[in-house]
This record gives sequence, structure tokens and C-alpha cells, in this order.
Amino acid sequence: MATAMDLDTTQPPLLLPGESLPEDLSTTTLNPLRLGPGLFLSHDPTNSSILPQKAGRLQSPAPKSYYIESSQKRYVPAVGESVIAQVTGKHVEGYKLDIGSAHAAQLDALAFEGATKKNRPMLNIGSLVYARVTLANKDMEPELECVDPTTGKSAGFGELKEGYVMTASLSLCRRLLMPSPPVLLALAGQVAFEIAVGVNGRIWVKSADVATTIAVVEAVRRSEFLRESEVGRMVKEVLTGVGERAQHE
Amino acid sequence: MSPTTTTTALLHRADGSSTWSHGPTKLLCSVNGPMEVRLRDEQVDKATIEVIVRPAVGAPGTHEKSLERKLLSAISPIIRAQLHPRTHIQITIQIISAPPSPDGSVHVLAAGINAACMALMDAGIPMSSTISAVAIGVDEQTGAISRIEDVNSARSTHVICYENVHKQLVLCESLGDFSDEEFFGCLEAAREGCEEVYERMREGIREKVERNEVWKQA
Repeated sequence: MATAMDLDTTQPPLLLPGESLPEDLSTTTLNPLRLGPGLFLSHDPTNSSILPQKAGRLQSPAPKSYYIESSQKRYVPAVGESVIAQVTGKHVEGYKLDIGSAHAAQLDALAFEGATKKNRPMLNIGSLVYARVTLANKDMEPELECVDPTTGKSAGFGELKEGYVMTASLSLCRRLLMPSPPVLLALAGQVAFEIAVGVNGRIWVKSADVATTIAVVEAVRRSEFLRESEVGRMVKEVLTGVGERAQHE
Repeated sequence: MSPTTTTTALLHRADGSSTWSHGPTKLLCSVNGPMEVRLRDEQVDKATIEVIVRPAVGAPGTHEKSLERKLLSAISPIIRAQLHPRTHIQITIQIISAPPSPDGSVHVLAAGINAACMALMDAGIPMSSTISAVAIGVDEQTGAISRIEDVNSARSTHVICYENVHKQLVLCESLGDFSDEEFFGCLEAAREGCEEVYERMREGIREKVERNEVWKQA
């Protein structure tokens, strides 16, 4: 079996698909074992073991939890995730939406706060919504809703009016949803804007003018491969550059 | 021995991409998926995997079709297609440069397998293992067995692909006159060659992972 040999032992091990984990989790006495994305149980004739199915670092955020941290651009829906969806079709019971996954998603017309048969939101083809995934399994089309399931309130879900949507890698979107992302903090200190981040690789930005929107989008895009200390300077450069262009118009 | 280089994620619009260069052979591979599938290609229990090979010059022909089939047979077993039923995974190989005929395709097939494996990992397509391929030749004059530099000087050529977890043979395309002994010698040489290729892949993936981790640094 291929084993992972990491030259830098201070970092979590870098694994390619099929490589053995440093500890043999299948014989572990840890119970229950929590496996996150990127790992699968392989049923080998010789032995069954837990192996990576994606290339990345093996992370262990808690003693019994493991997952592979990897980056990709294509979204695979999972229940409970918040996504930005675009309406591609309407029918009597609801809408068909594009969330960037292999299959289009369904949104019930009544899955909004305070919606009744007489009073329901009207979305057009091309409208954007911020929604929650309620059903996601490999054999069925994903389903969405625009309410918080426990309270019945909209809780930030619902139609996103105006604004601009950019696509980004799934890992950048996850980082923007962490507390205090450097690029958003740096931007917020200088310009006013509204932002919604979908874990499906889409980011919606809205501001008072086109120049600001462009600046926010460009700054977010450039922040993906920068160190935290470099972000402040990059944001200043972007804002100055866009400001100069705007003056020439 | 010509240097082998590989990169990932150079195409912004593709879900995954890679390059693989070995000597005069250079390929670009893009992977898209799992995405919407044409109804006639839909499979109820797994993803439909498609391989497309585009030549450096001219329109694709039967030669490319043959390469596509061989690539597909090597790649299909390692993709966990059952995780994405009724979807489409598209792998496109663009030949940027290749040694001239006859059979520069020997190098293209080996490099194509390696490039596809890198691009699949870059795209995050779930895989149960990885594969590595090399082109081995038996020299016309000396009978020496080694990774081919010049196809014209080989009495027989063998493109051999090993899967990297259990080291099983996945593909073996042999052309020319060779004895049993020579054949098994080629398999041995390929095993070693594939280890080197695998190390190169790991380096390529390491570069990608480190690039994606820059934000964690202060």
C-alpha cells in the first residue's frame, strides 16, 4: 500500500487518493469516529480501510474527527448548506434553479416566510435567491428552501435584488464565511457594500455604484492566494485603481 | 533522462486542469464535472466518463479516437463514479507538442494518463487510487530496456500504466517484436519508472496544496 511520507512533519500529512492514513483508523478504538469530506471506506478483498478519495491534507479538528482539506470549483450539494441560486424555470408548484451542481435544484413556491397560496413571492427567470439546501442525495435533484426550518422566519434567506454575482472556488467561499476574513474587513473599512456568500462557489455583491462593486469583486478575487499581511495593501491598490478609472469616465 | 514537469489549475474556466511535460511531449488536460449529462449518455447508477483527445495540428481522427479509448480504460477504474449518478465527467487532452510519427503517440498515451490523473485530482473528482504511466522501449541495437527517449531506436515499445495503491497493472500497450524475457524486463522497468512518475505527481500536488494554503500564513 502506498504510504504518505511528508518531509515537513509539523504540517498535517499530504495525501493522494488511495494512500494510507498515518494511523490505521479502521482498527482504532475511537468510537464513534467522525469522518468528514474526502474520506471513504474501501472494501478491499484483503482488508477494509479508510482512505482519502481526494488529494489534500488530512485534518483532525477534534480527537475523533478527520477529513481531507481539498480545494475544488465544482459544487456538490449537501443538506444544511447556504447557497446562491439563480432561477432558470417556473412551474405551478415552484421554481427550478441553478446552483452550480450537476443537477438543477427545486424550490417550492411556498418555502418562504409568511407565504400562503394567496400570497406568495413572485420570482422571475434570472432572479437570484439565497437559500438553504434541504435535500441532497446523489440520486435525486437537490431541493432548497428560503426559510429557517426551526423558526419559519426568513433568517437572511430569500430574494437577492440587484447586485452582481461572481464565481470563486469553494475553499475561498468557505474562508469568507469564517469569522473576520481579512479582505472583507479591509474593504469594509473603506467602502460600503452588501455581500452574500454561497458555499456553492458564488458570491453576491451589491453597492451604491458600479465602481465599488467592481472593486469589491476584484479584491475578493485577488485575496485567494495572498498572505494575511498582504491583503491590506492589495485592497488599497484595488480601490485606488478603480477610483482612478472611475474618474476618467 | 528528460525532465518531467507538471502543473495544476492553470485554466480558470475548467473545474480542474493540468499540464504534463516529458522531453518534447507536452500536454494540457482539463477536467469538468460532475456536471449535467446528455440524456442519451445518462447512466442511472454512475457518472458517464468521457475522454477527448485533440491533436496539436489538424482535426481529430481515428488515431485520437484510439487514444481516447485507451485512456478511458486506464482512467475509469480509479474514478469513484458511483458517487455521482446521472452526471458527466469530461476529460479533455490537448496535445501541445509531441515527437513526430511514427508513434510519438507512445509518449502521448503515457503523458496523457499522467496528465489526466493530475487534472482529476485538481478538479476534486473522487478517486479510489491514482495511476502512473511510462513508455518503455527495448533498444534495437543493444536490447537495453529503459524509458524511451527516441522511439525510432526501439525494436519494441511498451506503454505501461500501474495503479499506485496496490501496484497493479492497469494498461499495457506493446508494439514491435519482443521476447517473453524482454517483456517481463519491461514490466520491471515500468514499475520503477512509475514510482518516479508518482513522486513527480506528489510534488505537483504539494505545490497546489501549498499555493492554496498561503492565506494561512500571517
